Amino acid sequence: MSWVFFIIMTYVLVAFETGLGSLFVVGDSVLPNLLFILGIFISIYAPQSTTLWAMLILGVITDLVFPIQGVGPVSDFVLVGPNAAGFMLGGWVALQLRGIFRRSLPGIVMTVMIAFFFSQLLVVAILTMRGLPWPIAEPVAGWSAADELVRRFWCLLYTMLLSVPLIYLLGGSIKLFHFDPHRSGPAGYIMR
Amino acid sequence: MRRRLLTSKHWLFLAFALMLGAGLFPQSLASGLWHYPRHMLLLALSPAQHPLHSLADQIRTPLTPKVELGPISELENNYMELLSFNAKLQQELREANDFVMQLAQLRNLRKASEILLPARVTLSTQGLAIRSLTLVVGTKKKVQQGMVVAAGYNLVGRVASVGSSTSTVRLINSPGTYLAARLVPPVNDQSPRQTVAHLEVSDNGKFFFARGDINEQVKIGDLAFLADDRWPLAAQGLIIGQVTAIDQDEMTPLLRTRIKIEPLRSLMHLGQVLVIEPQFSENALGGVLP
Repeated sequence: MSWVFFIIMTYVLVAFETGLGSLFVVGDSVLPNLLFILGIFISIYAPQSTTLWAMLILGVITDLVFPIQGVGPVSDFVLVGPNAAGFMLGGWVALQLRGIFRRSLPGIVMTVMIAFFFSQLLVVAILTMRGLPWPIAEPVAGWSAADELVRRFWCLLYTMLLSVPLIYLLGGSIKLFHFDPHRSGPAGYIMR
Repeated sequence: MRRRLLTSKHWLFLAFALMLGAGLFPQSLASGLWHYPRHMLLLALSPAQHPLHSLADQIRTPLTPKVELGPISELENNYMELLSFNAKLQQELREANDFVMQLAQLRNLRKASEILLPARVTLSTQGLAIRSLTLVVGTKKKVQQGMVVAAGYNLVGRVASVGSSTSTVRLINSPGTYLAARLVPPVNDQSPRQTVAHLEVSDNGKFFFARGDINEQVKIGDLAFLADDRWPLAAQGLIIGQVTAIDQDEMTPLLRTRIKIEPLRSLMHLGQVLVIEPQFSENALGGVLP
């Protein structure tokens, strides 16, 4: 895979996600996750380790760009880890699913849905663990796991919806990713 | 061929574990650690973000920031309520201080005008016509007929006869005694109320009863203070008893009530009382024995 084109696409999508955030937002804070769609797209075509490294990078960027929202405008803080781990788990789930779903648009959208579900489950679990009664506990102010699960469910639906056009666009630029067409099996798929 | 100790899978697993651990970092550590990378990332994104921001704002007007003032306004309301409550308490405190000062002046006046003579009770007699106490003070202690006898702030009776070393007190619960009393609440409530009632002694002498108007606001727990011109000045304001029951009057249940008043202390079981000896007024022992 061409890491340069991956970086360019990541930059473009992050810029869209943050720059057009006020346009995309539904309700208070329901937003699509464009970087996750990119990661799933890569997981369909790239080898395992490439997919997981890419997912790690995308997760770290997501953590850096979107701070944890505390109570009040000044209590937001950057916490790298939850989304990075969640993205890696999502990438691993996508790798397991790519032998099940066909490499078609509905198949990729289904992969986005299932992988995003597990990814967000892990994110909520990590942030909830911060509030457990143990010595290093430092709960996120105003954190409610139930509320977050509901909000992230709407994010999942929104991400699924937007994955249709985005996967279509990414599919158009698939040659620029330079996925290895001669590798098959768990390391990648042969381009058709 | 030499094999690598850590493969890509190992590094990925380590990275995953590291990210899991990093998600539990304290807020101060995480903020300090990731502030600079975040700043650099946002700096790199800013050239692309600004035009997209303005484009988004043109298409859709920015949402007004939702400021959660619920708890703040609630706190403000609580604060204002507490302030007004505080002002009310301050006012009540001032009134109470004034009242205490008046009482203190009255007490000083009474101290100057009266002498309280402690007297031990040697005998309590409960006859058919009179209930009385025998005290071990008499004319030697300047006790005179008609003096008021109290137990603390409770009215006990009046001296009926005096010997040289003993005296007999006719108790207020003797049969045929009629007392005028003012019924007032024991503490200052919001609507000051008082009722004047004429008390009669029950047959067994254990309580008094009065007939009140159905519309009068007498409540259980109200105190009955003596307000009877037939009694000397020293007895006015002493406590006769407390309202313990309010029932419908048997004869006129729709118009009148029957108020039961019980003395705070059992008059037949007193060990010591106070004989109030007036100092100045010549008519201090005025009034006829009720």
